[in-house]
Amino acid sequence: MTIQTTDSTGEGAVRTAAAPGAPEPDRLPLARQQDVRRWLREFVRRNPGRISAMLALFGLALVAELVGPRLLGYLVESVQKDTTVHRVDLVALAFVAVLAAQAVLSGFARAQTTLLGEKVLAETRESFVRRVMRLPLGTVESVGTGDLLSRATSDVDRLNEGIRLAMPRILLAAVTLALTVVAMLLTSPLLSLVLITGLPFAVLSTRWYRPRATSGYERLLADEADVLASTHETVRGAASVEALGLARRRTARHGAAVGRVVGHRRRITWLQTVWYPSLDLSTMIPMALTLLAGGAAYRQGWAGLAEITAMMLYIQGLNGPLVELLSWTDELQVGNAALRRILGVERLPVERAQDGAVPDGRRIRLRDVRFGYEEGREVLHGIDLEIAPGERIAVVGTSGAGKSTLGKLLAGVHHPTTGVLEIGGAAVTAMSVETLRREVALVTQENHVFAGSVRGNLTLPEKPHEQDGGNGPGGARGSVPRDGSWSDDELWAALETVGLADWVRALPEGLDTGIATGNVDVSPAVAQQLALARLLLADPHTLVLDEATALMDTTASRQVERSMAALLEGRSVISIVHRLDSVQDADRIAVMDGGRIVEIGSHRELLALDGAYARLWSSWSAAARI
Amino acid sequence: MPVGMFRPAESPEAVPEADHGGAWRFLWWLVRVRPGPLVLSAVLGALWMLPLALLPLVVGYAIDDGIRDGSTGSLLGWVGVVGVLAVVQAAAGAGLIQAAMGGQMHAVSFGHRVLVRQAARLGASLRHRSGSGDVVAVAAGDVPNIGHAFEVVGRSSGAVASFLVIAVALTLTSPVLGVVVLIGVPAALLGIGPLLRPLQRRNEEQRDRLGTATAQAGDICSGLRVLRGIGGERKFTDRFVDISQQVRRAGESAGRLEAWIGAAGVFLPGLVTIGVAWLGARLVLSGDITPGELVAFYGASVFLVIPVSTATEAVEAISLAHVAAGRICRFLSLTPEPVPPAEPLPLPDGPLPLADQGSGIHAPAGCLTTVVASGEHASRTAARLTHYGPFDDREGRPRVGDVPLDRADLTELRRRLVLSGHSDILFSGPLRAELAGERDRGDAALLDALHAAAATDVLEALPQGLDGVLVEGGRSLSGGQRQRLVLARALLTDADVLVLDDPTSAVDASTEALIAQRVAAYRAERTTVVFSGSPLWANAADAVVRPAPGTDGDALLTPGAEQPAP
Repeated sequence: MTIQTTDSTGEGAVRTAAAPGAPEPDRLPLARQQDVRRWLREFVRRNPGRISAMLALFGLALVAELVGPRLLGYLVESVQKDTTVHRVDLVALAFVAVLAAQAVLSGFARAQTTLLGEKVLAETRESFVRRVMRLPLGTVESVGTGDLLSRATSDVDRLNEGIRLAMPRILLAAVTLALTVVAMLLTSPLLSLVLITGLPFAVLSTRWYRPRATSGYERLLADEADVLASTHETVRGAASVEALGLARRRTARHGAAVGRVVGHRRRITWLQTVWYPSLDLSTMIPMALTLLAGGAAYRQGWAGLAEITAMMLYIQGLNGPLVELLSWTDELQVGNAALRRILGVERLPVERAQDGAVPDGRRIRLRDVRFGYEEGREVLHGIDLEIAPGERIAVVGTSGAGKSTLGKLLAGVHHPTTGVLEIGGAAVTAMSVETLRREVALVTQENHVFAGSVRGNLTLPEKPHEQDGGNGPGGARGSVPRDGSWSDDELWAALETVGLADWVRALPEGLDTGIATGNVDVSPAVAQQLALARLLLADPHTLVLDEATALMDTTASRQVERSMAALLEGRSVISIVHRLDSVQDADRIAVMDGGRIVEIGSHRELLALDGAYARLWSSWSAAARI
Repeated sequence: MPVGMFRPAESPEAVPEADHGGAWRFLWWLVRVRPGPLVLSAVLGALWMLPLALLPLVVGYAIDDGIRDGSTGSLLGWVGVVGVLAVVQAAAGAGLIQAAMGGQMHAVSFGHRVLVRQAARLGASLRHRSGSGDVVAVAAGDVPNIGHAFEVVGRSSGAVASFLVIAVALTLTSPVLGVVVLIGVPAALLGIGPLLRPLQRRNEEQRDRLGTATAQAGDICSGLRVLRGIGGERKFTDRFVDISQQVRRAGESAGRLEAWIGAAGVFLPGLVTIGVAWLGARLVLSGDITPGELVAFYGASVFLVIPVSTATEAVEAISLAHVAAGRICRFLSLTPEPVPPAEPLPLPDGPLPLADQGSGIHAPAGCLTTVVASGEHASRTAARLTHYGPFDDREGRPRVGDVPLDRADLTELRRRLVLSGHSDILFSGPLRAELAGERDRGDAALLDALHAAAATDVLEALPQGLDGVLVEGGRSLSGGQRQRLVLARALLTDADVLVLDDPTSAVDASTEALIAQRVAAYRAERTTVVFSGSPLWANAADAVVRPAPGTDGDALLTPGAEQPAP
């Protein structure tokens, strides 16, 4: 859930990612049908016990259900042959016993199905999140949050529906159909032949309907995702909507998306308007014919009343499960389409797995680093740079010079296409993500308050090892719990440093107050301070600040500035800035232009050089000198 | 008839005001605004189910009359009757689907529309009230639930009708058996009833947990960049797994109960069926009814499971819809802030001055005034000047054209006094329309504004220029480009007073200087207030307001700090 997201960094990155020629940047792929099948097989393989238990229970429940009509057929026949009241009572009692067995067995079967379904759902949800966590950031930025959001939410919901409701019903219906046909064959093979007349209605109409419906449902889901994206956008930008008087335009665009959903639903409904009645006919017609054939067979002495009665009841009983089976598979199509959208994320390449190189020291070294967001479009053309421990470097340059891209490489968000990028002598590409994050943190002006408590927001990073910087090869020591939580004292200390302690103390439940849930208003400044406190806890030795201070209240909120100073103390800092306010304080200034570092040196040196930096500085200071 | 069941092209204005006085009232409102599909699906539902209901009776007669002692003629007659029932059922089924889905789509479409309309109405006040995730969760989960209820309700009223017909037919054949069926089946249904309430509770609990999981999953999309920066991926995933397992447990507990309700749904009506068969067999023995009639009764009581289970499904669907409607009502009953004044004062025509004693800002009419401040306090002041934030009673009200903001007509105020800040986002859509908003602007005007905002490079970034399409949040553009587009959009409002909160924070210095000069020229003769820490804006301004030296935090902008530009 978004409270405050003010994103205005990361030029270049996103621009190239969505450049013309890139394959449809704004939609995530769908999983192919064979992926879904593989996923299903995999699931069956992993849960053989539960699945066979469930099927066995369903089978037993159905046998019990099918005994019913047999008993009645017997009853009808026996009352004609002048049976006794006693016998009737006995048959009825047997009937009750069978029914009770049926109810209990089907209850267990359904409960089994639910357990299984919930398990699949939890696994699917979790593996989706795990997968998204490993997606390259560039991919996530280039696809719509709407698309990702609807996959994470409404598609998972729909799959939930499909599995919780459709699966037990489909199983029940399929087994019922199969056993009913077997029972019919056992009762009267001759009259069973009539069933064939119903087949064309069921088979042909389903073959006509199914492929059309599948593509219809896919489009429907995409449209529904648009509706949600539009809702999300309007809610998120509600302030802009009001300020600029965009209400009518927003509702019209959202309304158009809703209209597309209704339109697609209408097309699907027309398909169903043909299909469902055909299914009804597929049992009604055999029923009429069984009556006819039964009458003829009775006269010839080929079939008794009991057989005909049972057959009629069986056929009547076929309609329910048939419609149930096919219509719930229809519902399962929706689930299938949703599943394909969820599994589609798996088709995206993930960041490659790194082996565990461990840096020795903090020196950062870049040698001829080149990088492009896509093949053939290089953004950085050979960067050489060395950053000593504790050094402060400011990176300046015009928009699109590659500053933010350089920052992302330094933080390991992207990896160089060619060239060497090392921290403490170890290649960044060879480090595990956990190691890398303990070394370098990227701070942008984008703040996000995560749904959860203050504590939850603070303790998101991995807790550093006790040794300074985590550079030692030894793992966590005994005193550090593996789940990496900080003690309350440590949290309070960090909050105190950034000046948030009073704010948190004023919250109803202190550290455990839920924020970002609509109850507590988190202002951008507080969000920023929370982020700083989090960084203090994470304790990386190098910080990449990408315009991190642009939104900070330089004139008013000195508190944030003080927290920032506390955070920067003793760390290497690479600070990417648009404005030249405080570049003089940096040890060195790197001037970037067209994907290269064109000048580097201290403020004084660069002014003496009278090059690009001197020009930037003079236009800045001229304006500043009013 | 069924052709008109769907209305994809409903215009937003055609959606009447919703009754959000309560969950039931909201649902009833949905029915009231378009009762057609619901009524029709009830009628067709009955017509569709009746043949199914009559079938056992017909079969019973056919066995007695057509097979046991009838002629070929009467057998053929009965076969014909079955055929006619088949055709009627198929035809009614076709219409029922149209009507039921039409009803569902009506509810879904109106549900979505009232939600977004309300979001647009709440505008800036939404931010403090309800997270975007909550509203999206309602749209994603609750609206479809209401739609489902609309689909089921039509069908189930048909079920009730068919139940009544069967009951009458049975009672006419054998009063005793008729009464057993009439009382037995509803009793069986009622027997399931008490189980439904705990189920509803557990379902609700599961939905709540799922809502939390949904909010968490939504967090990934907006927070992934931050997570990546700090290496919080593992912790975040662990927490998600935790919540996901809670959802699972809640789902299992609801599912178990549901399974046993299902079992009760088999057992209780089954008892009635057996009772009928047993009683029927005895009646056959005593000669009161024929064997064919026994088959008819048995078939009828088997059939009655369908209407009963449909009714059960309807009860469940309605209870879910009730929960959903409650959530929608809570959102709909939020009122926008600020509250419009009871007796609004009109604003004078022409350029308006903007003055605020509280913050010491005086922006003369027709001038560009720069307030040398940025950051949160500046944003709060900008919001105060444009009547978005609450007023502190000690401070007096900002005045626009000498009218206190809280006395001005709010619609006019919003039209003539526009705030654009860095929390503004770009919306998805064609660039031309996204810039012009609801006004009809020619290309020349759009290009003028883009030029003033130094944003013409965006036209090159989008392959089709002005006809290009912006994706959600303008993500395909760089941060600087986005900010400049937001500025161009604000300029295009042609507001009499435009308040810009740090409009160039993501722009480099040389471009910023260009923008400052061009905006000053573009806004000539109209009042513009710019909050910016950058000297470049102060340079371009007619008047500059500086914070008094040495002040900190809230006491930043004190009266008397104003000074004319050199």
